Amino acid sequence: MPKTRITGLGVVTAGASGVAAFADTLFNPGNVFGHLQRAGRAAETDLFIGAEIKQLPDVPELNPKLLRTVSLTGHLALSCVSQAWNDAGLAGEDPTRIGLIVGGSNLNQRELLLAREKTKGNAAFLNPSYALTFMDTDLCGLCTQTFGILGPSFTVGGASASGLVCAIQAHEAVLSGRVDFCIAVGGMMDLSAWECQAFRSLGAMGSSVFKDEPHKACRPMDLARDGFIFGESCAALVVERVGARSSGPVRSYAQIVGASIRCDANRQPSPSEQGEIAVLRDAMKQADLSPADVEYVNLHASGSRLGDDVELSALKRCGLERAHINTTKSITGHGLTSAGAVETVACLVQMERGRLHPCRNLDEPIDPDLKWVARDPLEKSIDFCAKISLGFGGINAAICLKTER
Amino acid sequence: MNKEGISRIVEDVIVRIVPDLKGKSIDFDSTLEELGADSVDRSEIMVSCLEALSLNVSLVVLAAVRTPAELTERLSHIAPHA
Repeated sequence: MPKTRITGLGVVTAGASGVAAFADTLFNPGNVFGHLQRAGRAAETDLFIGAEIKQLPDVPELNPKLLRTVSLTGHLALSCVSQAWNDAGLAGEDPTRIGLIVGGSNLNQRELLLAREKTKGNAAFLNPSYALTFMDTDLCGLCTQTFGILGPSFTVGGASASGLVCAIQAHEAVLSGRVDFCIAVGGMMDLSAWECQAFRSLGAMGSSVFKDEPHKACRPMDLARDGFIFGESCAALVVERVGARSSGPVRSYAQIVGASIRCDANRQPSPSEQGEIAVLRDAMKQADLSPADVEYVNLHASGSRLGDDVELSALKRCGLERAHINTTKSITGHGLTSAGAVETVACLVQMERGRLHPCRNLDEPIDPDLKWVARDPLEKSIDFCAKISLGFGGINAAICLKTER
Repeated sequence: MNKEGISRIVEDVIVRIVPDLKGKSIDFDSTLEELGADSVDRSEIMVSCLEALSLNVSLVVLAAVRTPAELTERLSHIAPHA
């Protein structure tokens, strides 16, 4: 039976570029939240709160010609793939045996809006490169061209579970034998003011409560939460077959030992306890783990009023109430399509360092009896962890990871 | 606009879209492909020149253009003369 492991990581968030800097922000989290300022996203009236990347990462592969036309989502994807590619040492591997899957759909909303506004009334002068960038597969083309990847490459959409869905698809592509290596990219969702407004009107996006105190707004699993708070981010993971390389030691962050994606037959944004329980149980069963074996769960924890309640209930009904838990989004914000990938990187960083990160703004946890890593990091060696991600439209995904120490 | 002015616009647009040409003299008889423009760049060069000259005409009129010299020539036929 083939097995997969994760051997390369790349990440960019509002607070960090690169895995080492990301780890610093996890264990010593500062405030990266403010009023959203980016052109095309800043609110006309009511202010939106979130975390935006102040300085774009330098990417050696981005030459002046690419830099001129690359979208923000493309820039971040290329940065993360570059980091992960080098981390895993993929140069020299057979390019036909390497695949790349981007998680997320409708990623480029803000820049498309700006392009349309720029040529309003003069559609003939629309930049023809719009025909490339309006398709999310532009990220596939950009990254595969840059690294000479010749295996399969495509996008998968899973709403706010996209980042984990693409990691699971990469895992399954490797298990199937189609490729030996597959890079999963949780793409950045570049929201425009329109999507922010729609999320706000739906009651999904906070924070009207903390509109004058942006640093307090992002507080998943806290009693005072009032919705998710956006955070720009992107992450990439190299998934490879155990035994794929003929020579040399391989540095492995962890094996993916269980994975599940299920839907709830539900178009709505509402969560389903049954669906969440099902994917967690599927993943544990595949991994041959009992709930008592899982020492840490990286929660989805969007900050949704209903969603957070339902998730904790699902956790308890799965028998995972003894696992340590924390909320990575309290530090990074909610990247939507990127979140599952960013949070999987967070799992691996914590497993590698034997340390769990604290949560920001978790002043009054919804359920104080659970094992929160709240104010301070916790030294804790982790052999097995679970990660769950959830998306609008009844999408549930979960994985189990096993350290290879 | 006279032909010299149009030629300057064509050169500025090409250098903006193919940054490797910055600081180099452009051979107006080289093809756009030889100058480093891919097919998307080529389309952008055409649209950007029409925009710079406020010419709201179909791109079909530039379909056969291969070089900056041909582009300049074609635009100078379309653009209203001062």
